[in-house]
Amino acid sequence: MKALRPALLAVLFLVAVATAWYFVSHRAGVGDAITVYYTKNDGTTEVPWRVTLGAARDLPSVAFYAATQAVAGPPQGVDAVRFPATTRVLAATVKAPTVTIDLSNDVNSSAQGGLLETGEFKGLVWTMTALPGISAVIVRVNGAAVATLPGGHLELDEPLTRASF
Amino acid sequence: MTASALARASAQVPAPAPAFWFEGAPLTFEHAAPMNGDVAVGIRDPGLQRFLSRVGATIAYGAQQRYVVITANDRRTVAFVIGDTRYTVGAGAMRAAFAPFAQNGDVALPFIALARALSVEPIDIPGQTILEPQLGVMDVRPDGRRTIVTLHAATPIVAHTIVDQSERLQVAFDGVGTTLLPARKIGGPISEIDVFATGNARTPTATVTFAGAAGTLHRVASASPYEYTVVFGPPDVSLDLRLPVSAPSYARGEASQTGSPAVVAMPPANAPQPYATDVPPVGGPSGSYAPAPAYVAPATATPAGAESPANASAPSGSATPAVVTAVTFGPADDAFSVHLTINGGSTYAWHRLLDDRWYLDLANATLTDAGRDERPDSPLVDSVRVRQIGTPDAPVVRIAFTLKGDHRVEAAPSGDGLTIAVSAAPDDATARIGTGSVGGATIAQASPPAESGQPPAMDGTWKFGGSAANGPPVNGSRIIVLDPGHGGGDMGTAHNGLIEKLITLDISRRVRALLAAQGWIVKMTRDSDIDPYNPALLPAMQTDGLPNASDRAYLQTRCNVANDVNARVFVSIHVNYSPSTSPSGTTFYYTKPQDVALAQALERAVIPAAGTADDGVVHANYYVTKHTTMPAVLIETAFISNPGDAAKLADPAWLASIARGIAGGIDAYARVRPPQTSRADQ
Repeated sequence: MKALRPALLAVLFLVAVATAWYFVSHRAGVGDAITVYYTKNDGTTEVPWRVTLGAARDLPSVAFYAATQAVAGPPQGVDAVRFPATTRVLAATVKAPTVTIDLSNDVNSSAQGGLLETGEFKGLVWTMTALPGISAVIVRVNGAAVATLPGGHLELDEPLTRASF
Repeated sequence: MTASALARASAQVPAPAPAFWFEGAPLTFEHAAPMNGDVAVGIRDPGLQRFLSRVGATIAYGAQQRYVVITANDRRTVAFVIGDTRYTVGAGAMRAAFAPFAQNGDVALPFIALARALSVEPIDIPGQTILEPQLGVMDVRPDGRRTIVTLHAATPIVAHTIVDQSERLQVAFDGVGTTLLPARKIGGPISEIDVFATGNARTPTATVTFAGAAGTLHRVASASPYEYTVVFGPPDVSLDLRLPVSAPSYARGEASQTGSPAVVAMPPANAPQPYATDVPPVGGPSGSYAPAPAYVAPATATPAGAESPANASAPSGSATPAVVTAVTFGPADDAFSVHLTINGGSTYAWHRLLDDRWYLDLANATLTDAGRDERPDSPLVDSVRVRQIGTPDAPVVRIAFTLKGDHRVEAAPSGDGLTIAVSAAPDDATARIGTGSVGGATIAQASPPAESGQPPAMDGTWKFGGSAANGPPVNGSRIIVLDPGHGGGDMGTAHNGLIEKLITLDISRRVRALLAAQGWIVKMTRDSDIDPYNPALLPAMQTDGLPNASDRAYLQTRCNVANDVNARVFVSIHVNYSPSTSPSGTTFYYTKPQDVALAQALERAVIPAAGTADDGVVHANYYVTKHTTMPAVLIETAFISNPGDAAKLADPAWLASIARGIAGGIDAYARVRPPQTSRADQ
């Protein structure tokens, strides 16, 4: 029995190290998955779906990942309001409680009506504000602040919250 | 071996450049190195960018974070994490030959793993790797009694039909191979789908055979160049698919079309004839009388706590209509009068138009006789018409005059009814709308709003406060501002042969005509195909520290048309769009709390008039509704992307109908609501 004691202690030590590592790596308060929202074709209803995270759990990485998932939207075949197909997330900068999402110029072609604009950004804002400590979203287009999309409706030069919709 | 060690190794030891062949041409990477059986390629490599562009994928990576996300043309995401060999393809987890790593501001990805995730299969031949696009995804979806099959390829595909019979369809796709199962039993309208590949790695062909069940039909559709969709179903089921609508991109044009906002207080000569579709003209014998507005707000078109015009003048506490039993004309040399004999109580509202027309609506009243058309021998009156209008639930008797000049018209209750007298005296009163009652009826409306410091009228004769002697309100509260969305280089949305900027202008002109005929002063932010823009706004907006001065200047110009005159309401008229053909209907967007009642009034009036689906009153952070200082609503009238709605938008009769609804909603709201004077008051 005495001979097993060192091995047992080693196992306990490894378990403690693994546990500590797990909690340190999850200090952003993000679990194994995030909730991403898309807007149904009615332009108002938000639908959540869970997306598994990779190994990176720090908030800036998770925020970027969440933004890319929101912009990509749900799998094809799902009736959803979607950003233009080529829209990319250029950056996601977290300064809690606000995250700034920089989108590529491709988003400008969504200025096609209230439903499209509102639905796109509502899904993005709901997704980002589902992250811990985030309550507002600032939108940039190709690095620049914009009042609206060209010819658009939605005011984008102030932080968007869930109450904006 | 760590990622950094691999990076150093790849940087220090020149590796032979991998030779790739893709779609009939070499694919060359500027920065690539073999690594653990894969190839490390920087995400900024032009070769990788060309590859991604061809397969319709986009790549996203931002500094200070660890994810690299590639979005495929079918919206699947491929997510790598710097420093981790695990990656995801959609919901599936995979493991790469090496972990992506950052180097010199770039990130190297395992290219072979990425290509496979995007349905491109590397095929090694001596001295070269051929990247063969695959018909990689088959989605079989039951849809009621139909079955929808969508084939998805890595690159754009063109189908060559080999066999096309009702129960059997065979198509070939050149340029793509396939990793799909060779055969699968389906059930339902499709018995089986067989897939096989022919050709070689450089010139592959994938062939797919659909075997339908007995008696089935099929229809082919495609929503994107990467897809092929076929629907199988029995003959009594529609095989139509609602496919997404492609969205063209429109940018604002040059700001060269500078124009001042149009200010109009009466219908222009070429304005659309109001109510032409549902109210017969009430012209005199000569036919010279233009149709007068016959709007009666639907009973449901009343804001909570307010009264519609019809209800406002209905006898309180009585739903029994008054009856006009006789109409007597009394011409004289220096005056002209009409006497209505009325059984029961009623209220009335009179309107003086700007072109010497005058009419009176007797609410909740019926006419025992047919209407009258008279052209009296009078120096004062050209013609007089008496008509039953309204609806069975809200009947109205209208008496309309076409005058021979600016003569005074007065309505006064008498013992058995109402007398309307036209005198030779010039009409020096500036009021154009008034109300009154006969037979003891009371005006059941909210207290008239106080304006210009005037106390509310106590006798119920004025809708807008003050009196004729006091002159018109000076704070612009009788002004309605209409904003035809888009214009000039900003087309708005365009589909089905329709262009939003032209439709919004058409509807706005119709609404203007209707409101002006009811005595409102109507301003429009534009009255032609321009994007209204006041250059004077730009310098201030460039120095105020806020972004996007140019776009704000455009939008603020529209807002200022209303703000500068403290308009009663601001209504912006638009056409909606969706990437799907499914959504339809009318939406009423508001931003400020005080917009809600206007939005609801518009909803109640527009939906019955337009016959569109009611998409509701919706809150939105829209610029024009936010930066106007009075109640403001943005109406998305219908969906240009929906076939049914598009047909409506192309129909002038429907445009007249929705214009009638909008005008009715504005009128119902504005005549019983006090003006909002400033945002600080809200």
